[in-house]
Parts: sequence; C-alpha cells; structure tokens
Amino acid sequence: MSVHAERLTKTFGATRALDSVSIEVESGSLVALLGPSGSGKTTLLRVLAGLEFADPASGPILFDGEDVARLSVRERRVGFVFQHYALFKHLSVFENVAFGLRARPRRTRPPRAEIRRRVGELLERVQLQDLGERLPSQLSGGQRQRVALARALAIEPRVLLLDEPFGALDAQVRTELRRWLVRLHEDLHFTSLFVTHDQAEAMEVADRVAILEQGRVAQVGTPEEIYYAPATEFVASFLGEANRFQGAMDATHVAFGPWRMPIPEDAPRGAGPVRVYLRPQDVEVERPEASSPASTPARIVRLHAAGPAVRLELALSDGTPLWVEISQRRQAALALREGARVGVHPRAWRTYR
Amino acid sequence: MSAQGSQRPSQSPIAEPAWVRRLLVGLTLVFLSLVVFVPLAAVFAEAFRKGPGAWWRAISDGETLSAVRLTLFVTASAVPLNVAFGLVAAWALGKFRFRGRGLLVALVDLPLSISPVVAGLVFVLLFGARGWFGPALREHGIQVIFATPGLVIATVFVTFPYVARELISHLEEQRTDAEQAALSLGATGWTTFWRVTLPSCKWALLYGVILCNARAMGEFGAVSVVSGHVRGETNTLPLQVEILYNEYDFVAAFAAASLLALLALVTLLAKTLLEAHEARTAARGSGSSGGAGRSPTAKELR
Repeated sequence: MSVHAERLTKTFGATRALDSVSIEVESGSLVALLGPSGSGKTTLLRVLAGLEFADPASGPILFDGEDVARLSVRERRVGFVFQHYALFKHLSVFENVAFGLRARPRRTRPPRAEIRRRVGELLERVQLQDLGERLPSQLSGGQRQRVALARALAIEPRVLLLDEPFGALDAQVRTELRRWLVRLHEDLHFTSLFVTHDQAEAMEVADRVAILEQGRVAQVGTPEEIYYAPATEFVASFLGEANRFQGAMDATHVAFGPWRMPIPEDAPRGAGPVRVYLRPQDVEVERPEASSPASTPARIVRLHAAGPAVRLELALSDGTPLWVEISQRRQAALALREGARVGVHPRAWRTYR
Repeated sequence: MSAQGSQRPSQSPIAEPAWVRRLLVGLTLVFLSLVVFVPLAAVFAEAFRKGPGAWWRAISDGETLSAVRLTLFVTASAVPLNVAFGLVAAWALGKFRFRGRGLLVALVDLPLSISPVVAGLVFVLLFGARGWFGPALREHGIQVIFATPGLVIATVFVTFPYVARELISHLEEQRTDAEQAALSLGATGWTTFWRVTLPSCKWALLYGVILCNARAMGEFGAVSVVSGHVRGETNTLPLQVEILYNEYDFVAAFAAASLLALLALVTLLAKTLLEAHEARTAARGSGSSGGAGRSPTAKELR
C-alpha cells in the first residue's frame, strides 16, 4: 500500500517538531527516516500511525489514496513496533501475537482455531515457534523485538511502522536482525517505514532514505543518491565523514586547500565563496615519485590499519589536517608508514554555498 | 597479624566499620523489642493467661462474636468501595495532566494526615441527628450515625488513600507504550484497560488492598466517634477490646486483641509474600534483559 502525506506540521507547545513535511512512500518499499535526535523523525512516524494528530492546518495522509488523517490509531490499521518492544508483560508470546486478532469486535474476529493457526504461522515466520508459552521477560532482546514484529504483522497492517527497531539491541544482534528484516520484507513485501539515527542501518536496510533536519525533510533518495550526491550541506555533513574546506569558485573551477579543481557537474555555478566537502574515500594517495599533476605533497601523521579500510591522518604542506581512507589492498601495494611522504589529490568533491 | 589483617577480607571496602554496623543493628533490635516484640508477646501472654479454654470462652462470647462479624462486614464493604474509588482516582490522577492535579493528589493523602477522631466528628456533623443531612436522612428512615452505614463511611474515609496511592504511583511510572501498542492493534480503550492496564498493575492493586484491609480492620478513632458503642450492634472489634478492658475483663479484652493481632500478622505475611514475589519478578526481568546482550544462537536466527 502506498503512503502519501502532505504538509504535516506538528507543534508541541513552542517547539515545532514537524515543519510542513511531505513524504511519499511507494507500495512495498522499505523507507528509512534518518536524522539526528530532535529532527522530528519519530514524531513523523507517530503522526503517520495516528498516535499523534498533526496540527489542524496540515495536509492529508493518504493510504492508497484514502485520507486517514482524521482516523484514530485503531482505525488506521497500521502495525507499530516500539523501540522498547512494548510487549504485554503478563501475556505469553502466543497471546501477545494473538492480541490484535482477539481484540477485534465479535463480527470480524476469526474463530479460535483460525487465530491459533495464524499465530502459529507468524511465530514460525519469526522463528519463535517453540517459545509461544514463554513470557516476554524470559526472552532475549532480539527475541522480544521479533515478538513485537509478529504482533504488529498479525493484524495484517496496511503499513508497518518501526520506531528505532534495533536501537535497544547490542551491535551483533542488531546486524543479524536488520538482515533478517530485509529478508522478511523481501518475502512479504509490506510497505514499511522505520526510524533510525544509525546511518549504516538506514543505508543497509532501506530502499529509500529520507533525511530529516529540524522538522523538515532535507533529502529523499536511494542510499547511493543520499551518500554520493547529498543535496544540502546538512546531509553531506550528517552522512559519513568529510574533510571540510573554505573554497572560492570562479567561472570554471573551485579552489580549496592546495587544489584548483573543476566545478562538479551538478553544482550550482557562479563566482563566490563556497564550502567544499571531500570524503576520506574520495582522496587518491600515491607514492611521491608517482605523483600526478594535481597531486600535492603530504605527510602521514597517523596510520590506523585495523579494520576493513586503512585510515590515514595526513598533514598537507601548510599543516592542514586531511583524513583519508584507502583499501587494505592499496595499502599492501603502497606499504605506507607513519612519517612517510605521499602525494594526494581529490577524486570527487562537493560544493555548498 | 598486621592491622590490616584484623579486618575480614570479605568486608566491602566502602562499608561502614564493623562497630558502627553492630551498634546500629543493636539499637534497632532494642528499639523493635521494646516497641513491637514485647507488646505483641504481652498481648498473647495475657490472652492465654488463664489457659486456652478461657481464651476460647472469651472470643465465643456473643458480643465479641458480633463485633467480629461487624468488623468483617465493615471491612468487606469498605475495601471493595475503595478499590473502585482508588481505580478511578488513580486513573484520573496517574494518567492525565490537568490544572489542579497536584492539589487532588495532595487531597488523596488527606485521610493519612488528619486525625481519625476529627474525621469521625466531621461525619457526625454531616449525618448526625442535628447535622447537615441528618434530618433529611431521618425522614427517609435512614440512620447513618450510630449505625453500620456510619461505620462503613468512616472506614472508607480513613482507608481511602491506600489503594489510590499505590495505583497512582504505579500508573505514573508505568510507560504507556503497552497501552499505545494495544490501541494500534485495534483494541478499544475498554479492552486496553481490562487486558493491558489492569493486569500490569495487579500486584500494586493487591498490595494496596492488603494495606487497606489491615487498616480497615484495626481502625479505632473515627469509628469510635460514629459508632455510639451500642453493644452487640455497633461495636467493631477494636471498640469491643476497649469496652472489655474498661470493664477490667482483661482476659476477654486481650483475647479479642489477640484476634486483631492475628489478623495483623496474616496481613504482614501476605505483604511479605507479595514483596518477595515482586522482587523475584524484577530479578527475572533484569536477568533476561542481561540475556538480551548475548548473541543469538544459530537456531534462533536461521
């Protein structure tokens, strides 16, 4: 089911948590709402769910074209997974999952055997078929989160909303669970939005990522678009790391640090001061003797070789620090050491006014 | 041995010195003995001074038995009323934020801080023969003061805070996530209350009921004022104890008092069991959230 919301504004007292946010989610896609704390991502999720009402002047919230903005959370039929699971502590895993079916009015409530069958199916789906009789307190964090997911899926929601679904789990369980969620989504094709402040999680799990900044949507796009073509300086600085320079743009080139490089194709032109973002992965490192013309000399101050990539802290000839990341393979070829001299030049850069 | 060696190695480096602990424990014991243990033992010793036969005769006396029945009746009326009122008040005060809420929360505690005798007098003023509502009630043939209704009202007033307070603090701290989850799953507010909210506070409720019950059975001051001491009719057990004592019938007085003490001990036992249960549940909860940190087994994730 598709979700389309327009001009959502939500104020809490004097704070504007959402400032005319519009968002469009295609049917069957998995969208991440990413942003720093206080950016309004959880508020947006709760407004879509019906746990909060947007301010009266807001636009419609369309579920497959039907405006649900005035409907209560009960009537919207959304699955909502809470950050801290919000399981019913006194009910068994089975009863937790069955809750939504049993809570239906008698007319639409499935018969007992049907409830039993559906809950059994869901428990199997989340790999908890043997733990149906347990209480939530007897489960691990990852298991609890999967119960919460099964419980939300039991009502056959039109859209599944997850608030920081893996936020309370430790790193290893989190990685496993988010891969599992991706597979589940591939199998079931539900439309889903999830809130996260973890960019790695957003990039890995989501088809599309919406970046929120101070109650506004800063950019929506595929993870690649967001990462390689950040639309605003905020997005560029929020995602990953970047070396930041004060630069000057003329008709054809932008000068920053020791370099004078062509203006990026998609960047707005016009002479004047700009800020230039240079990602650590977008810097070419060479032996000093093999230097290309654009290369500038630098010295390796520190070298961190542990991990998937090698991180270098360089000092340019005027002392400006520069963070660079190269592959282990490249490091094997160059055999760099702390204190050594190298030549560096940017491969890609982005400019913001 | 060195000076350090004289300290037991198991002692925590941040605990108080041993002599301080011994002094504090000793003082507590002496105090408790003087104020609690000795009097309690004295009650039973006095009650059985002339043997179990005399004790049995004393408590099977008609007036004492009727006092026991009246006490049970008043308690059985007051406690359910206070559970109902307590639930409503706790729901309103624990869940909603509104102007004047702080004042209402303070008012819930009023019966704890006001002298029960004053409370009793207030009800006499309201419902007595020359009170505000007394004449109107009498026209309809309803007698409140010097009758069972007055005893129930006075007891309700005095014991009202116990259930309400327990529930208010519980509903305040309880996260409303579970309730929101229930609503998002399509449950009505009514279903959510019965299936999610109430079960989650059942131990707090039970705890409140036990305290309320203990207080209701033992209440003396307010009940004494509204009772009128009609023998065999409006005397509750605590009042009966006083009457017997004033008549120098010590064995009978202490036998009746021993019944009250027994009720208190049963209440204490129930409360202790309940607390132990809660501690166990809490320990299990935190133990398994520690388990959240473990990595899942291959079977769990496959």
